[in-house]
Amino acid sequence: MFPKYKRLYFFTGKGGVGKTSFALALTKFLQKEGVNVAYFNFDQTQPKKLISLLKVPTINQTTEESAAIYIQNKLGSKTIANWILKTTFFKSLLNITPSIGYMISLGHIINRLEEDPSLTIVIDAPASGHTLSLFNSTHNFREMFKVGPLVEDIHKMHNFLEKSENIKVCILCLPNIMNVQEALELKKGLSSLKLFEGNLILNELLAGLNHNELEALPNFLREKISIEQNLKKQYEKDFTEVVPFLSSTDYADIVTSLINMMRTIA
Amino acid sequence: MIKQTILIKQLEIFCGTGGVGKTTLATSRALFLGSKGKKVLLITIDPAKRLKQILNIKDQNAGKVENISSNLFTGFEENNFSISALLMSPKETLRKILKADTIDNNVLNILTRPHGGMNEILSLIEVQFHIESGKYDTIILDTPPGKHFIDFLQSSRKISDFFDSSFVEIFKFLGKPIIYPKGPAQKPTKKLLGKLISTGIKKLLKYLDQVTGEKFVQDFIEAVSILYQNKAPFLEALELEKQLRTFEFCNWFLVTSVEQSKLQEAAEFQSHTETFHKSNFFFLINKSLENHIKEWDIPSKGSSLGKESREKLASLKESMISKEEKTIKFAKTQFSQFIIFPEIIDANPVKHVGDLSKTWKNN
Repeated sequence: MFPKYKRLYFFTGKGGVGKTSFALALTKFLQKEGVNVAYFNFDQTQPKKLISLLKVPTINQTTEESAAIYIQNKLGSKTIANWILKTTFFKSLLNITPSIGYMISLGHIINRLEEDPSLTIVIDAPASGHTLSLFNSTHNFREMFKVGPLVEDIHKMHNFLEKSENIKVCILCLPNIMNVQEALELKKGLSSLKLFEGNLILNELLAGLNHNELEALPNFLREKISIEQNLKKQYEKDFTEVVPFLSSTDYADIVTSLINMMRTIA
Repeated sequence: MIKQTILIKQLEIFCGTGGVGKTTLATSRALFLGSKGKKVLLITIDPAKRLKQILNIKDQNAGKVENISSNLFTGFEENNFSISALLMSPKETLRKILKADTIDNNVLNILTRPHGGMNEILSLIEVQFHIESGKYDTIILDTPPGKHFIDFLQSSRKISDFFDSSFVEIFKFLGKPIIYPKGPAQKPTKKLLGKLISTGIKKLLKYLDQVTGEKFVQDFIEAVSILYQNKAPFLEALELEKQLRTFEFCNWFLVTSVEQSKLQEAAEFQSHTETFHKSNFFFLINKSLENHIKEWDIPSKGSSLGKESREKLASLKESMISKEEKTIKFAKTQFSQFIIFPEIIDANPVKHVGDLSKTWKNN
């Protein structure tokens, strides 16, 4: 049977576009569909209150923990792995080259998916620039190491990421020109890595008002909407999905109402 | 809501969560200072480089200081001036550190690519170079979003750890001498051997050899030696970090926006900067629609609009008012100084920058 859902979802885009809301909503949606799913925040800045309020299943794994498990598997010893992590050398190395941390965390996620074929992970990814650094990290280190077991592991990671049945990368974007440009650049940047294509999702503001209601809006909002509609028209062919933006001061409300819209995105 | 006119400092740092308008506000500040006759350099660290879109800078010019004429913006017609702008390029920064046209080491070359992840770590050094050049009255720094700002704040400490003396001495012992201008590398002393055993670096490198191949370990050791020979700028950046905390030297602007309810994150940001001087710390509330909402009248009963529609609009208005109020209340309780910037309703980012610089004029 062809699997209904992907194994790995990424939500990225400029700051404030709704990465966390979408990632949480998709996790909840998949959970309701009976999928064994977990939310993972790549920058390890989880919205703890919201997660406990909505009972979102999560993976909590720091880069250091991922590194320890990886080294342990490579060298076959937990003691050595823990010792390596405690050395000044390794700590400084991890600190000064954040891209090593990116690669280790990504590798760990893929490992988990390979070990447990029933598992799906939804990733709340960093903002655009840092998501590019994240996906560039494996390419950069492959070029640096050239040969050896680490390069083989990078190939394994790429094999997983290359299969379109495994992964969906969603680039969220709000209807303003700074957002759209950043999203298009990110899509191009990801595409150049030749692993997968990103899907542009427009988070449309103030949707759901009928003609009469729009007419009754004050000038500043009509102007705002007209700017957004023009932009939407101009970039229509670039968006794979348009989702209405839900305005509320309650974060949990936003996520809950988004859950029902996740069927098309999943 | 500020206690006195904002004093112009040598360094002004814009930080905050993503998408709130850090780059736009930083650019508007640069233009405002430029219009007052100050020599300003605007630097963006975020690898997403949104600044290029506002200032029309090409990607391939990252790392080079560009001259931006005030003609690009509206509202500065009466006096013509220019500001300088720079998109951070880790490779260019490293070239300055090494005083070299090319970087011969494989590891350093790859890591300093545009998305190699080294932006934050090298940014203080870039700032240091421009402060020392003496060319600018003020340097404005547009920092990366979210947790990556914290990386920037901690970069000096991380660099200092990296140059931990025991760590570097050990490389000398491994027979990959750090080449000093005069004389050969020193032989390791007994004390050093003690250190070597306690840190176990040799064993660690042997493990590294097993998984990465010998060539990489050689390249890596060479990379560390190169950096160590050129460590002066790194250590100077540590001094700069101390200065960031002083009132005389630096202004901090924490940006948030009304449309995003990310006040919790703003509070977390503040907790990271708590050791800094309070009187040079400003909370900027961007994209306020307060003035617009005041003038918004929901059609009354008896108008052509049905009850359901009227309620829908009323609740929209209510939620917008509540966002404004929530943000202002947060500002009043958490920050001693805050400034409100209006949302500029225009498709063109350049127009936003010009209009926003008016708010600086009043503060």
